[in-house]
Amino acid sequence: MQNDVILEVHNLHITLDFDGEDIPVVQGIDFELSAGKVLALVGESGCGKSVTSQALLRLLPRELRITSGQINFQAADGQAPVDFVSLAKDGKKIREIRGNQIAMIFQEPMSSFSVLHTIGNQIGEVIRLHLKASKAEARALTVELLDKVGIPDPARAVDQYPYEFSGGMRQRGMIAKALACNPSVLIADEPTTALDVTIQAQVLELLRRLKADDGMSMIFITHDLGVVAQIADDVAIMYMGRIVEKGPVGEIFGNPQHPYTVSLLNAIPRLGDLSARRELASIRGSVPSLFERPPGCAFHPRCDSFMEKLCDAQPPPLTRLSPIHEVRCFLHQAAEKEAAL
Amino acid sequence: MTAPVQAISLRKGRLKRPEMATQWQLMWWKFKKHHMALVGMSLLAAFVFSAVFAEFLSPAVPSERNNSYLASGPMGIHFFDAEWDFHARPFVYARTTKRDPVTLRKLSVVDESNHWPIEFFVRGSTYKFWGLFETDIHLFGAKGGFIHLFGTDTLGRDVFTRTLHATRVSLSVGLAGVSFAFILGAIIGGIAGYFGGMIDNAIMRLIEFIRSVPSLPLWLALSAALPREWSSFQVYLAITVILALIGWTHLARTVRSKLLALREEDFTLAARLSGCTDMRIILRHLLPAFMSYMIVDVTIAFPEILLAETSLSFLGLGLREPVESWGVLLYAAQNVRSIAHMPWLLIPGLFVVFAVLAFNFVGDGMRDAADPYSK
Amino acid sequence: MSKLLKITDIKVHFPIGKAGFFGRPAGYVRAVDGVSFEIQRGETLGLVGESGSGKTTLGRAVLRAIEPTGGQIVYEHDGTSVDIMALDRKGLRAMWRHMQMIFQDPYSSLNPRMTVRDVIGEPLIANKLAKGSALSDRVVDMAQRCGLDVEHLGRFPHAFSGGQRQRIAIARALILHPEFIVCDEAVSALDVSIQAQILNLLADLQVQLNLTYLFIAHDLAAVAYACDRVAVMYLGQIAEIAPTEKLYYTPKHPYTEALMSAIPEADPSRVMQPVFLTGERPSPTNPPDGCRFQTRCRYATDACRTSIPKLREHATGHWVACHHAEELTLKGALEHGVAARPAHLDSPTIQAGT
Repeated sequence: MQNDVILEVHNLHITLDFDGEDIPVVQGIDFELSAGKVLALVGESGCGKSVTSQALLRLLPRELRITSGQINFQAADGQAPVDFVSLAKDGKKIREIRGNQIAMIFQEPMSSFSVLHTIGNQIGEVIRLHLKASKAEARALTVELLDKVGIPDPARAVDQYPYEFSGGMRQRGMIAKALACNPSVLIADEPTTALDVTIQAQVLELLRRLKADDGMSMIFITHDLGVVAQIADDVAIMYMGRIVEKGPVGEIFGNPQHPYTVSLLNAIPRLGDLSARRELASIRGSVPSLFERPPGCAFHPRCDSFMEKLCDAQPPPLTRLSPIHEVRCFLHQAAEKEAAL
Repeated sequence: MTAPVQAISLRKGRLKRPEMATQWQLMWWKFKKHHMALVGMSLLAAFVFSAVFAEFLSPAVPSERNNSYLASGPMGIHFFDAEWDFHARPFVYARTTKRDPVTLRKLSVVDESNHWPIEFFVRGSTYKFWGLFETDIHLFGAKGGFIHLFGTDTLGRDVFTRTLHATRVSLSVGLAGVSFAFILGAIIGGIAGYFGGMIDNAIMRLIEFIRSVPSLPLWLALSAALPREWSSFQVYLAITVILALIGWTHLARTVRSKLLALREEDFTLAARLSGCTDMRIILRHLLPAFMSYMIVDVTIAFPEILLAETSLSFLGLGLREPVESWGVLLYAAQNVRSIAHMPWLLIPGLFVVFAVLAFNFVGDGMRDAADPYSK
Repeated sequence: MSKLLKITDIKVHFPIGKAGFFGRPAGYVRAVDGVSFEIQRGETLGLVGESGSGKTTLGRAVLRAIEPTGGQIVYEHDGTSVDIMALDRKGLRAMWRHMQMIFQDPYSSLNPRMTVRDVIGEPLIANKLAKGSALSDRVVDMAQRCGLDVEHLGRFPHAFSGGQRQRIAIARALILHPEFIVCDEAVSALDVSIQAQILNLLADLQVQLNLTYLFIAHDLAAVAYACDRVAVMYLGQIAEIAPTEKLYYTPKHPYTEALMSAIPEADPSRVMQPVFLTGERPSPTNPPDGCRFQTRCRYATDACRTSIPKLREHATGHWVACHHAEELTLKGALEHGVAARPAHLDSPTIQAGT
């Protein structure tokens, strides 16, 4: 692993066990997360982005299984990298890493809080468990954390119950809980999707500050390209279990190369020129079901650049357009060959 | 994880064209995945079959007394005789009677030298099948003698025969009770859910009150109030009503809560905006939607009523002889002496256990299948 | 353009917390609290606001799908003004032939137990407008207009994807040839690529069938794309109504400013610089005195805390409910810092996977 890479996913395959039949959900994805960066996994529903994020911490539900691949994590302590795939699913080691070194936040903050205990108790419990702190220390740390994530009057909030928090405050509370043990990586699964736009802006600001001030590395899962543009350093566009294009955020938005990325960017309403209403470029059809995965490039039935007997014959190989920008599309493979000639 | 699950329903389509499947087909597909429910279902089918054809399936008629086989145990069916010779036709050993020299009571003794082969479609005691036509054909019987698979009671009546007949009565009392409860529950719950407000409030408090009354004393009081001179049929009807009076509260609650939930569904509002009258909304949109939940509830209420009937009859307060029900049969096994000497009298109890288990398994499966559209 | 619908001082209050069996409610949720606006024939009026602002309730109250507590709804139909609030059940049902609704969740808005053909045709059957082959023809025609495959009309809704279901819902809403449609978050539950399809479809149908939309949504970018004018709701009242461009680029209400500056623009070279709101949204049960927004407004003065600002016409067609609309210079959408972040092209973070 390279020096600044903290988490590396290599050729990860995940299948769904459906009545004894293996249905591929994620088909060999690769990405790397560098220290202090935000990597966004972007795609529409069913592209496998959430499943991937759950797999990173070995949190997949029973019917989903990692069939091959590696998830290498370089802990901050300088020890040799650990491959999560080789660890027991609910073993001691992975449990130690979860929360301690990699934390996760979700779309629905209530899922990570019990309604029966105060916010302070729940965050304090994590701190005491992982950091072996005393009750008083844990409480002090909790107040500090709540303050850090921008909850007003943290000394009072620490004794409140989750139902007393508004949606935005719960999201902050969950982030505080995730930060309790000073993780080096934060996995955020659609953390702002359920939030109102003004609160979303606050949460994005908070995450951005965590990155800038604490050097937090993040994997950010979302379908909202606006949010991606505002928070990510690197972007991986997923479609039906494959990464079709990845690169730095400026490249993906400024110089998209995969037809899917291009159409996706054209399909979002933009605020540029409101005086004239124009037709949005939509992508025809819809994402096929997992059980009806088109052969070859999964996007080919919806693609305007579809090439017969090529795109539907085999999955396109990876083409590296530059050291930092890669794409899986035959269009670019052809271009590469021409350039080589 | 919604995506793969959603896809599963789509995928089902590829195999079985679910895009054309009605609610009931989808429910059946989902139900079939529940193995225990299928086992329960087959068991219930067997119960129903034996209840319907009880007269024909049993080798005797329930009131028939066998004076030469009083209070004696189940007779085993054999393929091998005492000399280990194989017989293609199964048989029971013959019995002879002798008197106990001390107590002078009649005793039945196994005579291993004589076999009574079991034959099918034999002629036996005459009965009126479904009260329609007279016949004397029984599914099986022992040629040259008698056969008591579950033994006999103190009067020499065949326990197997009586259990089959009791199955009919017990299931039909349950069915009648449940149907009655269903109607009561649907109407009262429907009123509560549809009108809401004060009426709803009053009905809910009434249900809470009824449910807070301890059920056993209530049954006792109600059945004690039944006049002694009533015929067994009248008692039978009265008991179903009593059982229904207990069972409806649960169903009414389900109907009400489902109705309240469905009233808020977008598709109900859409139907209203489409110009549907209230009647059309209820019949076309609400009723089909909660029918499945009602059936689940009825399946779950059934064993409750079955047990209630059994307990009442067992206590001697429900059905009475000559009507046979599982509870009535168990009534005979009430004292320690009979259990010690005639444990086979408890066999109807096994039927109760199996019936209740079967209903619960089926109910479980139905509950999972009731909403085939859940994501 | 002529006026289609005029709403005056409409209120929807929900009672909460009954005290005792016969008791009066302990309070009211003032979901919609005195809203007035007009909709012109053929336009799309957007209605935005955050969760709890009352926009969904207002959308339903306009159709009397929820009974308003008070106010007036006047609908111009065939040259006569119809007082919607005065209609009885039958009269209302007849008016619903001209006013329809498309819902947010295409899963719960279609009865899963009816085939698509029955779902789309139901309004015709319920209103006794067509049967037999005429019914079938009209269903097929509308299904085709909405981009549905006619071969699939015998299927049940569960066999369709979210976007297809929304097309079914649109076909059902349009089969009676209504004039006015309330689109309640009609594209919010859909994927980006499908959302574009449905927005385009709605725009095409609007031209073809001369429709008027009340477009309720929380996605400000989609609203900007779809609407001619936009109304902003906060805590059950309208803060501002203006033509889309004016509202987005030159908002006059501080709450609109907060919304507009918080839109994450899909352009990494523009870093959003939102105006953050302080504090929490007050409960609609117990709204603050004076201006509803004063508790979170950074420009609030004593006047805001005591007197209620009326919705007034600040400039032609631009209505705002703020005492200080004239004095304030507010930020609009897209007023981001341009390229305020280091360029990303030189970040060699992502390497080849193999």
